[in-house]
Amino acid sequence: MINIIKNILNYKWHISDIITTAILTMFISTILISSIDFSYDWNWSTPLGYMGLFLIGLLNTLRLFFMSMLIGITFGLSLAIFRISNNHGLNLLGTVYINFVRNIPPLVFLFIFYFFISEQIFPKLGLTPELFENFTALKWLFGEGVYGANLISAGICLGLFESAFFAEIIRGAIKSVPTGQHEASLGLGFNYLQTIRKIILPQALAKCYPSLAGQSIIALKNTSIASLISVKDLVFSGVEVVTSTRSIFEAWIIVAIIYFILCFTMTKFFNYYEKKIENKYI
Amino acid sequence: MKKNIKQYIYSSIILITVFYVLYELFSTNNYPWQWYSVWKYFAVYDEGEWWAGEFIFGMEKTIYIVLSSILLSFLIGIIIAIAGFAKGKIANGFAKLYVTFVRNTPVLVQIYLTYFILAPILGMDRFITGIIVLSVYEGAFVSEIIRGAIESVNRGQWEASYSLGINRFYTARKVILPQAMRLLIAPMTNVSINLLKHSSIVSVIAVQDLTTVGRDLISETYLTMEIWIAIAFLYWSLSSIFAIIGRIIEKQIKWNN
Repeated sequence: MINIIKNILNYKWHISDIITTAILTMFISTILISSIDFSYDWNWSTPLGYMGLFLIGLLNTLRLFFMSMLIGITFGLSLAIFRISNNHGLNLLGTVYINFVRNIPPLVFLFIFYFFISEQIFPKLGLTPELFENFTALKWLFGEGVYGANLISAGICLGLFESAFFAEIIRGAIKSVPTGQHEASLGLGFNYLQTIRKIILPQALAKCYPSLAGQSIIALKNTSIASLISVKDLVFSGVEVVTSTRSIFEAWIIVAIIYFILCFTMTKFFNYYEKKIENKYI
Repeated sequence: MKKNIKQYIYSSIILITVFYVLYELFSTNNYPWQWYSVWKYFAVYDEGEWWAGEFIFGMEKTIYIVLSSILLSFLIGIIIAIAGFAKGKIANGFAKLYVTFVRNTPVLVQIYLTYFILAPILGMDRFITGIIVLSVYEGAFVSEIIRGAIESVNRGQWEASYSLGINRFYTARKVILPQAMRLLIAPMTNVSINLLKHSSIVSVIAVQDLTTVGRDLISETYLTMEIWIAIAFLYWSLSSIFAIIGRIIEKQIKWNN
């Protein structure tokens, strides 16, 4: 303990340290000086009383995340296989879809397909709010009432959006497996699907693990957009708390901290797991 | 030859089924398509002259936001990368903290944080808030890209230039950066396309960009699908243009070396 304090006291200031601290103190002091006129009474007890709402939001964010990951990875895998297949039609389909989705904003994609899915396809399939009221399993999985249907369509949209990115990552990994592997397994009498499933994919997935991890964190961050189509996720609960208590600063700081903890623990978990996978496969 | 014919038959069957499913989905619903009323938002011909529609104004604003954020985020990225490489521990710590915080929170939350907390204190308007949030967000990624590019330059280059008696700053500027620059172009294209995509999120604080224009028009006209599809097409063409420009610059630089 004493050593640490001694180290801090004896620390030699490099010129970059001086510049950084100068800029930071300038920034913070301008904020403080301008906030003198701007009176805001901090009140942490009110938004903390709404912790239940934040937790429901967190739960819905996690539901959205898992749905989008599930759909994104399965659909992305099939898109990747489309793109490496020799069939022109499948190839063209995969290319067009990936090119389209990767070049438009997630918000616009969500708006297009959200209206499409929730207003045209769900009524056809018979997914109505009453169904969610009657089945407890659906209630547990997707939340209650109208919001359940919203959450499902938002999850499907986010999954379809992420699938293009997952597909490109998986395709790159599959391409990086040497073609000798492919030929050898075909030579041993495996058919095409068996080759892909038993020989190529295990090697490819171990290779693309880091970029898949990064993309899944981006997927978690993208779920925040679902709040704009009134899915009750974390950001939406932040908006609700702000409108009902007027404690703007505290609510948004709480939301940011929850997101940060979520993403940061995920990053650390993936890093830990990546080392394990590297030791095992590569 | 035989295989080719088989393949064409397969692919045409697949494409026809896909188009048929899409057609069924789009036609049997009760949505009244009115594509003819969307064209006037692109451009209007009136009194012998062409007038720009709402989409063009929105696109102008979006391009303005994206270009200024590219410049600002590159600046921030360079500063943070320098802070990360410097010898001082406080500068390193600050760079690390900045990157971890920015990369681990969604842009939407950052926009709300800045717009509701910092903007009223500092008296920023929403347009500047949008640009600053986007460039701070993307600056973290740019700094990581620059760090990666500089680290990928061979260590021998630093040592060789030190042994020639060149100092640290001059080495970085004259020896390392020209080599690292080449590796920066492709990721920077990616960053600018990402910025274009994230710029649509700025619409939540009512900056009059392309997405906001679309939302306003939809609340006026109820042409939901048509307008969103037109806007998706505009975003798609903008980011394709960015990608093409990036590829041209990349080719030029390779040719020069």
